[in-house]
Amino acid sequence: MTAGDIGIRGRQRRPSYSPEAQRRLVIVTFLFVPLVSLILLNIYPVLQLIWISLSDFNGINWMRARFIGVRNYSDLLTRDSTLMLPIVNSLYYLFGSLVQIVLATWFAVILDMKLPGSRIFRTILFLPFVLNTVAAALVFRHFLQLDGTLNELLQNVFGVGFKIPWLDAKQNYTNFSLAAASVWRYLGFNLVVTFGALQAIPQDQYDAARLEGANDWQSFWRITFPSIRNVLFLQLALSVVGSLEVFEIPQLITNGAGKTSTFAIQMVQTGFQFHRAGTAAAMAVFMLLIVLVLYLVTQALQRYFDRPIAGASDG
Amino acid sequence: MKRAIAAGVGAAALLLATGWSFAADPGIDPAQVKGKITYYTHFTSFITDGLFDKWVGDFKKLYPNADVDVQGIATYEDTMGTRLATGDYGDVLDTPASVPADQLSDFFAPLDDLNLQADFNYGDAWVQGGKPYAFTFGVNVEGIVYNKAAFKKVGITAVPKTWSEFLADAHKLKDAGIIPVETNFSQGWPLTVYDGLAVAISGDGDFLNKTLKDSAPFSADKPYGKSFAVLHKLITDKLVEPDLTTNNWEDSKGWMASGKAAMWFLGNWSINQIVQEGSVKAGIPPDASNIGFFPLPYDESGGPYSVNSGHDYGVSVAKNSQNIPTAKAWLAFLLTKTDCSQNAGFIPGYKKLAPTLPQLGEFQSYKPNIIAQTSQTPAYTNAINLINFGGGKGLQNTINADDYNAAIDKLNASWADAISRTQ
Repeated sequence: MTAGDIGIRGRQRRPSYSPEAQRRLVIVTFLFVPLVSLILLNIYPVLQLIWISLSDFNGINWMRARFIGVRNYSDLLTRDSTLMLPIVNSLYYLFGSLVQIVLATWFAVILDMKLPGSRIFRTILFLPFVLNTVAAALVFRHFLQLDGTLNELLQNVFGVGFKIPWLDAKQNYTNFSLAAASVWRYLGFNLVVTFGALQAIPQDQYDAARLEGANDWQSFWRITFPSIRNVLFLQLALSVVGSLEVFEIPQLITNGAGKTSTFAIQMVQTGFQFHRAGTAAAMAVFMLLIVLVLYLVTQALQRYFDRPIAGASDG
Repeated sequence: MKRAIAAGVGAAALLLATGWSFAADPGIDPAQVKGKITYYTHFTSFITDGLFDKWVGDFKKLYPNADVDVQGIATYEDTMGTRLATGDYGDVLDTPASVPADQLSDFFAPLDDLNLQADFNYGDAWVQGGKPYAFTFGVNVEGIVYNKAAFKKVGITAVPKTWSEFLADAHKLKDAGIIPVETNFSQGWPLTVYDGLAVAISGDGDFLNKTLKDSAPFSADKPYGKSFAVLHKLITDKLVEPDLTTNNWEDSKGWMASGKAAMWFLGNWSINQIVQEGSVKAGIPPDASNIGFFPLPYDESGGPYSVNSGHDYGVSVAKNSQNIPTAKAWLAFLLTKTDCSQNAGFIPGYKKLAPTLPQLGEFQSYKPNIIAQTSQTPAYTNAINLINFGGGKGLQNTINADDYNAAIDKLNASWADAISRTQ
């Protein structure tokens, strides 16, 4: 009945959609949820962050927040520059994550050799990543504390006659202790990613290499490494970003005391403990810019290494 | 006829009831106290041990149509900061310390109609425009809480009267393998007693606000410098817990109860936590008589010493509450008709309630000169926030620095910069 009615009313009003319009409708319908989430959960918070960074918002009272221009930014570069200092500690974690990538690659290659028990070892190495960070931090706190497991071990098994303060906030080396905890926690992730990439390498390449008389070392550098290079670059990019944003492990183990503060801890304390949400937001924007720049650098590096290599035939 | 008498008696009873209620809670109309309200509190332990169930039960006996949903928050300040910003902070709440004195009316309902200001210690602590916005649970004095058995074990028969006696006793404890002074340094907030110690040494309750006029308040010869030096001395002489970096706050209550640690410098609120929670941690029966409390002898004068006192958390009614009459009734009930404050080990904020903590008697016997700290002005709060000083962070950073004296100079310099920015 409706079709007939519409037919009488005239051709222009007829709701017959062309294939093109139908396609558009489908696209819009499917994009609606992700786009709304993107705007609501990504773009809107970033815009709000930028707005807060231009205000003197104290973190609790919107009614009193005033627009103060770029003062938070200029202060961070001058009189508040001490707030930016903990960013230096990211270098400890960057070092840690480089060690982590090397270790993870090493373990992944060994596990890929399909030795007996490799499945069990893979699970054991991946386990810390599944563990929640709070639990991991608690474990390491008890492990590294002055009366902790590590010192007990050194004392009772290796006969070390004194206790080493692994977590002394006055000492810079404490950052290595914390970075080690971080390596333990995240190694499994790198391992699984690299292991996945290794599995994708066709076995016949190795067989061919062996027939040509290549040893294991040569097959690694000529077959394995080029095949997983992109994955390693991705991990490197994530590590750089991750080491700038280190928060949970030092926060939970040392509360960011003394020399163990990180940029993110400083940011959270400034915003929530000292009620300078404007300054903290400006710090976050700075971090965003730094991360963006470093990300672009790693991307450029990856493109550089991915270019066709002229002398590739010498291998 | 019979029915009329019965009705008359009923009415009289009702009158009596309401009359009594009016007398107790001015500004509260019992007819309007109805419905369910939400109360946010930092007293999580009173929820787990059932005390709040009992108090809410008593409240419902008084106001049968009302009910209270008590929500405990362990990380109270952090969580409530976010809640305040979103406008969702219940009907009644423990007053977050993060609300500056000049912004109370932005968040809370005035409580002047309860007519309680004169009946409360620190009744003017949360006043804006002449109206009170919170009343306190109770008052704390800060001193040395100690384990009597630990003192006895090393032959200390009387509490130390001078700073050098204090140090000598601490060394005796250390030699016996006991932690002399548990500072909970890593936690930060337990170090705020050293702000209080500076107030005590200065003898002026308004000392902290007055530091805004001093461009170098942390120098060694000034109250703040002397106060910091106390902790610095304890740490350099290794008279504190060996691990100053990892958080052991919950464990340390057990150490104080068992005598693994002998002393800490905190308010009287901490005593019941040692007696109740600490003994559970240590696996021993609670024994309040084993815990004592004395003023810190911070110099060689022999006393009597000044001690800092201040209010603990206050309770406020949310400005945007949909049920302000019930909220106010619960606030007044909780503060004036329950033993909440006494259970927490405070000197009750409500003056008609007597303190029940036995250790306060011992403390008073040393005749301390109690200095009542005034509320922090917004200008002072701004200044300490500019240098990331509050919550013990300033002292922590100073002690953690490579060179203590250089750190003090640096702190003075940033303080001078901060006060120039707040004016």
